Amino acid sequence: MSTPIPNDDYLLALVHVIEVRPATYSLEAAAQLADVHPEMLRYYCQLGLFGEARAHPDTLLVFDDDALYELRRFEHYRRHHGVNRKTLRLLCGLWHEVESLQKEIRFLRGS
Amino acid sequence: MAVKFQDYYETLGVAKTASAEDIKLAFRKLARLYHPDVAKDKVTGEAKFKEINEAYEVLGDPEKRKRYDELGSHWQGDAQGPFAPGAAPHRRTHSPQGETDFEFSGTGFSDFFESFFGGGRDGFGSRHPSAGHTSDHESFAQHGRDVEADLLVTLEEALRGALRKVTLRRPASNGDADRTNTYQVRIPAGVREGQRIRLAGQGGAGVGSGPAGDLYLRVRLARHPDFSVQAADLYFDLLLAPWETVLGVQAKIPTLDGQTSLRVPAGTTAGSQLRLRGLGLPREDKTRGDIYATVRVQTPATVTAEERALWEQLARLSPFKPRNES
Repeated sequence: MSTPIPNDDYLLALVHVIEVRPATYSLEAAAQLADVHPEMLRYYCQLGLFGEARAHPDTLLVFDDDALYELRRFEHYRRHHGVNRKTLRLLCGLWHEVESLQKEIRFLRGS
Repeated sequence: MAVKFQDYYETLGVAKTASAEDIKLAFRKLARLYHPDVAKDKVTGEAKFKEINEAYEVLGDPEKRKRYDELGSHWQGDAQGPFAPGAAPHRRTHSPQGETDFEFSGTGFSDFFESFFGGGRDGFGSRHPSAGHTSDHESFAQHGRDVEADLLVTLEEALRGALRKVTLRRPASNGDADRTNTYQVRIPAGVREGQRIRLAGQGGAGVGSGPAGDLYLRVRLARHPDFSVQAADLYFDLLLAPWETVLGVQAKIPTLDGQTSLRVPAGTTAGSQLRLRGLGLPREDKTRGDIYATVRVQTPATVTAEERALWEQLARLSPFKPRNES
């Protein structure tokens, strides 16, 4: 994915040319990247923790970069702050609501 | 590194007592002047456009403006005061665990903005270690933390895609020298507000045999002088004279693809929305959103004696009643 290109001062600075495209991950790949069990990820989906169109439960489960970020955030709060699943669900609802209200305010304020 | 104070009022050329409407007007005026598509000097224009956008991002939001005003009244220069080096509030890429500070450039936002108004609303991925670890050897193999930065993207870049250079500096730690990585990031066409672009393994270093964290670039769409954005649709205020709404008019309106002509039918009422199909931002299904031109009727503030006589004649003749009065 990345190719280091040495420059004049390459010991201190490395230039990486990175081609970034919107990435999607299968359930197994996303679970591996976030270090969770696939069944746990499936359970998160059933709880409806993911936001709009980030995971597509009707078809094959596919996750994008935003979904992966959220998944890692869930795990972070679960492991490091002892947040249980019910509270996580509540938190997720609040995060998504705040996000959507911020978007609406931004739109209503216009340019 | 000292964070240089940014005078956003000076950037927009408004007084500190300016109203929200004055600030919006000043932003629109300057943004039209320095927009990369119209500026004579593209490089200077782009830099200035980003400065103006950043200033409006703060002053155009009442809460941020209040925080900024409080900050300004306490600011005592680059090297002194409560925000001097050492006492400076942590950038959002700083970890309370004493991990490395990350510094970005090329994201479209200044250090000042990043320090005081940057994203990372809940601090995840920026102030705490990342979630991953190997359960058997947690203390020796911990996943590196994720790092997040905002990336200012213009609507034109969101439409066509762009190549951006982003620099990430990791200051010296554990006896290692400073490390600076420059990334040529290709912003794909169709990115949306808030979307995260993941650069795998480019975040904080892992502990022991733990893998490095990721770098997330969060897309922030730059404010546009003409358009407001809602998903893939763009909204434009179409200013019309009263007689233009009554009689109809052929109006020229800007789009991201250049100017186009829109036929406003006779009898159009204020607040109506006229749609230009397929001229908005790209959607996930590769189609494009629409532009909605919202009709805003403008009336002249002053009239000549002749105009006044005509308005009076119209008032006498017209049976139109805008409100119910008994």
